[in-house]
Amino acid sequence: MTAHAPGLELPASAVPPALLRGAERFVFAAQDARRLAALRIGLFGLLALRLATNGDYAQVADQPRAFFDPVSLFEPLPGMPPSELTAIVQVAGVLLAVVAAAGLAPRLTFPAAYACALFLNLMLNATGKIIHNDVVLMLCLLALVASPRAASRVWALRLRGRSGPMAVASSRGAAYGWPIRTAMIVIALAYLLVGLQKLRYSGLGWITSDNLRWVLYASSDAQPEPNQLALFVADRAWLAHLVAAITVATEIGFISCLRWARLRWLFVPAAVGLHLGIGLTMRLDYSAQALTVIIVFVNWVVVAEWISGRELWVMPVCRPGPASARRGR
Amino acid sequence: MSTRGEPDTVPRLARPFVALLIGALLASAIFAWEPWPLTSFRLFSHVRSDSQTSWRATLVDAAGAEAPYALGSSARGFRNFGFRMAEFAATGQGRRAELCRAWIDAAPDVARRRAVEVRLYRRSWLLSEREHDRAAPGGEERVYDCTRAGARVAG
Repeated sequence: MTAHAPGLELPASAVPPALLRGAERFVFAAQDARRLAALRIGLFGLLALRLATNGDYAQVADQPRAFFDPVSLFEPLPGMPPSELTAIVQVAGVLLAVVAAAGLAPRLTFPAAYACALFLNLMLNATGKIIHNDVVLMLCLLALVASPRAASRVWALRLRGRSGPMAVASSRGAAYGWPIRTAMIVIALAYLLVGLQKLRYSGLGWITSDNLRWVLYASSDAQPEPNQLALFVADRAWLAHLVAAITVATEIGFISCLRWARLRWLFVPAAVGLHLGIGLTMRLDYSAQALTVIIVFVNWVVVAEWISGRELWVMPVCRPGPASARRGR
Repeated sequence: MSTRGEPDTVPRLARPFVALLIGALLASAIFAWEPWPLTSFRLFSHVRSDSQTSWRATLVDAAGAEAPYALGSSARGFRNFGFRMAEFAATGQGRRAELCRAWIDAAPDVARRRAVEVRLYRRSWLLSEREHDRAAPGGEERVYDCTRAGARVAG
C-alpha cells in the first residue's frame, strides 16, 4: 500500500539499494488524513501548552550581556532579547500555536508559531547550556511546518466563506503519510543517537561502572529533600547497572519499531517510562518529549473510533474502508 | 511544500526535505554540532565519577560584611552557574574581569544589596561518603576574589 509521488520515480540505473527502497516505502506510505490531523492538533497543542506554562523565558530575558552565550540562529545577536519583546513573542506564540492546532490559516500559522517557539527556546539555549527538553517536539513540528495543507485537510476549523479543508475525495493517501513517518524517524533517530553517544563517549562503562549510581546520588543530594527512589536504585549496584542497561537498550532499540510496528507496544511505553523515571528520580522535566512520542506513535484514529464509535468520528466525505484506519501503522 | 488536494500526491520537495532533515540529524551528532533544534544529543553521555566539585559565591559589601550570593538562582538569567564557573576557570583575565563586573553590578537585583567584591568558593566531596541520605560535606576552599578591577586568585 505504497503510493509514490508522481515525478519522483527514479530511472532503473539509479535504483537505490534495498535499504533505501525500504526506507522510501516506509516514509511515503499512505496514511489516513485524520491521523495527520491528530498529529497537528497534538503537537501544536503541546507547543501551546509549553509556551504558555514555561516561566523560564521571562527569567532569562534582560540577562546581562556578559552571560549571553548564543547558539544557532542567535549567534549574530549582540545580547539577550528584552523582557517586553519576550512577552510579546510568548503571547503570540501561544495564540498562533492554538490557531495552528485548529488548522486555521496553516501556511501562515504553522511557520509563525514555530518561529516564536524557536526564538524563545534559543533564548534558553543562550545561557551556557544546551537545553534538550523540547528538542524532539521542535524537530517533529518541522514535518508539519513542511506540510500545512495536508495537515489541515480534515478535523480543522474553517473561516466562513472559505473553501473547506475536508473537500477531498479520499481521506487516505501518501500526502498524509510522509509527515507522520518523518516525525517517527526523527524520534527514533533521536533515541538512537542519545544511546550511541553514551557508548561513543563512555563505552560500556556507562553501564558497567558506577556511573548511574553517582548520577542518582548527585541528583538526590541536589534536591531539597533526599529522593528515596533515586537512593533506592543508587544504593543497589546491581539495580543501577540493570537500569543503565535498560536505558541504553531502550534508546538504541527504539528504532526497531519503525520496521516492526508491533514493537511499538514495547518501546513506546519503555521510552515514556524512561522519562517518567528520570522525572521521579532526578526531577528533570522531559514530559514534552514523552508526550511527543505518544502523540506521534499512537494511532489516534483507531483510539477515537474505539472510544467513541465510528459514526461520531468519520467525516461523511472522507469515510475510509473498515480496515483502512488500521493499516499503515 | 504542500499538496493541492490530491491525497496521493507527495510534494516535489518532500523527499529532499526528509533526506536533509535526517542528514542534518546525523551530521550534528557525528560532528558534535549544536545548531538548535538540531543537537549532538550528548546529554548524560559522559561517565560520572565519585568525585564531585561545585561552586558557591558570596558577596562582600562596603562595610566588609560577607553574605551568600545565589548566582545559581534563575533571577535575571543567572542560571547554569556551574557551567559559567567552568568557563571562568579556563578563560583569560579579560573575560574574568567582564564576568566579575557583571556579578558585582547585578548584586542589588539578585541579592538586594550592593557588593564591592564577590568571592568564589570551590567545594569538593565524594558521593560515596554518605551521612544518612546525604553526601558528607567534604571540603571547601576560597579560589577567586572578584572586584570591578578583575579577578585574582585568593590566597
